[in-house]
Amino acid sequence: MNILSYFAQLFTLQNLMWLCIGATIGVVLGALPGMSADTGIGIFLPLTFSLPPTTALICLGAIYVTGSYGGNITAVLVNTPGTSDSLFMTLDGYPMTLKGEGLKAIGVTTISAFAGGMVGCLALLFIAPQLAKLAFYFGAWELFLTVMMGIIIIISLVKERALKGLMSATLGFLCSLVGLDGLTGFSRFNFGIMAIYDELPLLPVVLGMFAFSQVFVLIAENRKSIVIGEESMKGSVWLSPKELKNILFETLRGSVIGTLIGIVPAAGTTVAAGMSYNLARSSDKDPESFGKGNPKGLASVSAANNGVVGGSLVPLLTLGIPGNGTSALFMAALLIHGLAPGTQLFTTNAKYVYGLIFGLILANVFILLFGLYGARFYAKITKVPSSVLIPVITALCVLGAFSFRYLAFDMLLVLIFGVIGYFMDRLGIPLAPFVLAFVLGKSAEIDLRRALILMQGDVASVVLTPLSILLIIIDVALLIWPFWDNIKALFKKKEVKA
Amino acid sequence: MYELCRLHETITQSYTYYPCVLKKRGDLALKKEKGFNYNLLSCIFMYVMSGAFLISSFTIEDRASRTFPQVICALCIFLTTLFLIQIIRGKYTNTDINLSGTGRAIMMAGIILLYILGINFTGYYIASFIFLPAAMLVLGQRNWKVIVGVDVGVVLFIYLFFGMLLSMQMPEGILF
Repeated sequence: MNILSYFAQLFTLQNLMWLCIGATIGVVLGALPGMSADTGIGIFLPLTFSLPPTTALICLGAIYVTGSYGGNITAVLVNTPGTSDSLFMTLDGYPMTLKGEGLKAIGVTTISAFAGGMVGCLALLFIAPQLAKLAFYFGAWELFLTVMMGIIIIISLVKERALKGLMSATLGFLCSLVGLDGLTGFSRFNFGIMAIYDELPLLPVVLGMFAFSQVFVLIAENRKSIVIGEESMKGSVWLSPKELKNILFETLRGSVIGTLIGIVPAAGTTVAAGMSYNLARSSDKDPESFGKGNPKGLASVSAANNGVVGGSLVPLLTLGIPGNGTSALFMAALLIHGLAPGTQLFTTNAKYVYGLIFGLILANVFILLFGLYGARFYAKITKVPSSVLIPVITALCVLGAFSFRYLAFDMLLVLIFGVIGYFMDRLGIPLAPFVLAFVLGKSAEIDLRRALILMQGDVASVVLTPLSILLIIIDVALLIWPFWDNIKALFKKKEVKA
Repeated sequence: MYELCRLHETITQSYTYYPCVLKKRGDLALKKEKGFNYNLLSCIFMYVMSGAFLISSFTIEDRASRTFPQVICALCIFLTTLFLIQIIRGKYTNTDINLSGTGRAIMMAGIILLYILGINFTGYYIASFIFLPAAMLVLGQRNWKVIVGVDVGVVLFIYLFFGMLLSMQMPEGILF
């Protein structure tokens, strides 16, 4: 059977029906605060036991793809990232909505998420086994350097408010250290609270920082609705050729970055989106416009976010290494249906795995349908009076925080971080560095300590490998790039003085 | 600019977006807040947090486990001290700060706290059924049709979608 025949087997009534169900559930769960693709796959996994393997994988794949996208809608329109992965969408997406370009923002995030997803899936289809070999070379030190890319992004994010941003980042770092030490198993900084004995949970913190703080800002500003003015949702979700051309490069670059980072186990969406955003901002002629509603910024992160989906399945399907939490659930799905990841999957069980890959491609088409045709419906959310929207967001966020670990304490935690986020926002302290450092802090510490243990005093054997040197060069370049103009200006001044 | 935009909105109470006039209007408002530099609040908060983490780190027996957090604590204290020095030198004023309407926000935080505590007693559905109309009324919604419709609609949606379709465990109270 050739690849096209695998594509043809997808078009049965049963497969298409479960694809639609998976795609719809994915978008809805992705958009709801606290829910995510993980939740959807976790819930639907038992339901797919009785289905044929191809149909089951198509349904779960559709949830994964559209679940990654669903969070973009609420992040862009109401500054409430449905999932922690979507937090980067708020940087430029929400300011676009505030400028009255909510529809355009949905168009940008939809097109670029579609492109990112397609690049990831095509990589999975054509170059999966070759790319998967890369994952073998990533040890603790290389993973530390990859996580450092995400940390370095913080510096470029807060270029204008460097000191306040770095303070915010260090606070995020400290909060990430709460709970069990990943290497020794010793619980640290729990301050006698049993609910945070193992960790300070990610989702309640992110929901508090972004969604709840925004709720308080809306109340403090006494706004009638999110959008400002009657004609604020002007324009169209369909982008003009000029607008498409404007975001084309950032979208393609974000897609490739997302796919490549997705392949690296544990690197995650945050690193991919952050790296893509940083590159887009640093290489743009007008970097100051980033964070204030620049479509290029939104396109770069949306593409990277969905590029990770295809990328994370590469090491899973070929080596049996899940790239992130969601792909770990996928591995469970494969094993339940008697499919062992590895080379055999692409030979004897090819019809299942290619069915999954083509299912992912079709699910990406659903992103376009949901995004472009549903945009006017979603945009109405921003016109809902604050007096209605705030209580509804609050009730959903409280439930989302609870559902993360089924602990009542997490509902209180979301409020605490909401209040902290509100005061940080009002005192001019940027929130994004806090959240980035919080998400990446624990991995950075564990990878560094693990690398130091592995070095056993012989630093050169670990640090002076070609991959390590390449990653160090990328890290240094990322660090210097945002300040390149300042450095050049400094050298010019010295020359003039001389 | 984004913060200034928000500041501008509160000053003018206008819902239009005019970035070009932000500076002038912002300056007018800031004259009122000349006394206390609110950036000091950030310093106090950061010192308290990093101090608490630093003190707690000394209780960790394993050296490797406490070194990294202590480095971060030291960095945090260093950056906050740098910030404090810059505040004293007058580099950071109340320009980036807008605390207007904080009273309203704190009042809402209090209502949400009661809601969360209420969930622990009555369970999620009943607490939400009471919280939604109460919050809508506090926030100025006076249309009873909207209040009742949203209240019933949201609770019903949560019950059907999360409770029935997804069989999700809902927060339960002591009483129900």
